[in-house]
Amino acid sequence: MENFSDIGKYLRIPCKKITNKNKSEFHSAVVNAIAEKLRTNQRNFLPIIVKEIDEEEYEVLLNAHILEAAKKAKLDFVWCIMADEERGKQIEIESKQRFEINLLNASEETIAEMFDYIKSVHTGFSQVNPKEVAKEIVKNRSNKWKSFHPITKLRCKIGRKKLDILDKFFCLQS
Amino acid sequence: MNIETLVEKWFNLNPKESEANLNAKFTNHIWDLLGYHFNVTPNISPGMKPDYVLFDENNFPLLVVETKKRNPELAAQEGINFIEACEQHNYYKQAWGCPSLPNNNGIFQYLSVIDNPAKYGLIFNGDFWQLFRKVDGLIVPLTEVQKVTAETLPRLIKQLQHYLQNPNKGFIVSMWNRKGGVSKTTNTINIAAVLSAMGKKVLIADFDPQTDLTRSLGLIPEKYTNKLLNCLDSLQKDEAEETKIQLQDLIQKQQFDIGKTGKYFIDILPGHKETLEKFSENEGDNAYQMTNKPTAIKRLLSYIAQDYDYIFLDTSPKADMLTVCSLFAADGVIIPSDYDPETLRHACHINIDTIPKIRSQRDQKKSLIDDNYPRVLGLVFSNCPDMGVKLKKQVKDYLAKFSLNIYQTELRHYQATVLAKFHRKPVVFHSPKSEISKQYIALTKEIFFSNRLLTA
Repeated sequence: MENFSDIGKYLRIPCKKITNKNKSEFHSAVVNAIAEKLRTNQRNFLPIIVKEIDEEEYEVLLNAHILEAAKKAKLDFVWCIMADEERGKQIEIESKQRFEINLLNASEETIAEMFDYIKSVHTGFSQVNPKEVAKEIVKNRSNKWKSFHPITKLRCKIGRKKLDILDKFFCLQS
Repeated sequence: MNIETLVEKWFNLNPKESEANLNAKFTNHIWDLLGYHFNVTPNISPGMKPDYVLFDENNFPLLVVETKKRNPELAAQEGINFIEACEQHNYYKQAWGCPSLPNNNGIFQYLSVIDNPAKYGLIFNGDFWQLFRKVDGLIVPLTEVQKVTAETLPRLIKQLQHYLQNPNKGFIVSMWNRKGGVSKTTNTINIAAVLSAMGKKVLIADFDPQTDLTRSLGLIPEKYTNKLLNCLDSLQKDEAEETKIQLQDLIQKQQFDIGKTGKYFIDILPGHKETLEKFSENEGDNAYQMTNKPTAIKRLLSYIAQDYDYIFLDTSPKADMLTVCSLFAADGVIIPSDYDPETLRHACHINIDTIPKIRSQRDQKKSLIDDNYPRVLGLVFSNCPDMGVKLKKQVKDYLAKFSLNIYQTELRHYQATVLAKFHRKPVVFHSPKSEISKQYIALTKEIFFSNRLLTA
């Protein structure tokens, strides 16, 4: 009779109580295809991951496309798993939405590998040489780095505009 | 007048402000803010003059208020020390009307008047405040004594607003012990029946998957399969009207006849085994897996609570989700018990451990208006044989260690009770003149109609 928390539970929640903050546009073909299936089964099996933002108000952390499809299929409820701030961060990593490679102590090889991955998913990085940028970062990095700004000074074809993207892959923890 | 100005007025008070000044500079403005016309020092009964009385639209007393002058010593205390300091202080004792003080008239006396007692009482001195509710004979503190601060003042106003606007919420009672076979269901049915015969509007809800209550009042559980889900779905979607409609569809009005002339009605929220079992499951993927489940029944009942004077909840002896929900919903808990030391141990544990835990969990739900529920009303010996002097002393010694209210009226085991069940009626309706019916009437009067202040 001790634990009344909803965290980690598989729960049925009204669609209208869930908001999708990052209004990333899903292709209508994707949403329609899922909606068609949900209309037949009247429920989703792959849970939407949500967190509580206020009492009885939730926000999508993962699988927003299912919420969109459920709304399209006019379902009143969707099945969700309740997460919190801490679990939300790990879920972002597990679902490849975020990585937390620490630029201040990660090996040159790890950093190079990650830049290689970034190149494969972000077209803006095509001019970047992963091995070269990793080498420069390891050579110049210091505990005084409070942002990714010093990277723009390393002459590795990474300018200020690209720093926001790096935020999803790296962190600075001295 | 708005809440910020009110807080500012409080800041500007002198720490030793006299009662008259406190009321002129501050308390009067509370009623302005709430939009109530008030009457300063009216007589509510010969010799009884609260500092304020607020009236409802029909001119019946709604709130009586007792104020005292400020006290810097109390204001200096924090947290639990503050509560203890108040409890020992004469201003606080006088304000609530501690009977041990001579010639004292406080909230207890004002709420105990025979003709038209107010529904709520407030004590206030600029440093402490506490709200009370009157339910027939019971005087129930709605909060612990609170310290007045810039943070708690808006809460006081919010609570006053809530209670003054919803003065007729039915009092929700759970009859529970972790031990089975102590007549939970029979007691629930018969106390509810006595109250209904006294003219009270009563609802009984069956949240025990065994559905004995539903059957013993002549209903067929299978007719109500999954109807609870319709209610819960509308509740979750915040559809107030629809929730009420679904609940009214589920609730059955049963008529019971006594002799040729007596007709009494009890509303029943029937239970259905599989429906309640599914609700009770804490995991899995049935449709009853909802957020904030422990408060679901409380939230559900809030839509119909104003239609009743009393709502009784019957649950299984297991501490399952339905029991948790019922305790979250309950305002008062009656613990039925026999003389068995294990049953008594469970009863005492509920009193000192389970109920305080539920209370602290309720505190954390900010959408619920602050209250100090549920409170243990007392322990009733039921389904008992005559216990004899020796056992009586043993039980008395055991219970003396715990501050638990024990009802004087004891319920004995009679054939009439069982016979009535065959007729699908409460025994108080089936054999109104039987000994057990007299005991139920006496017990109901003792529980709900003798003036009593509930203490924690």
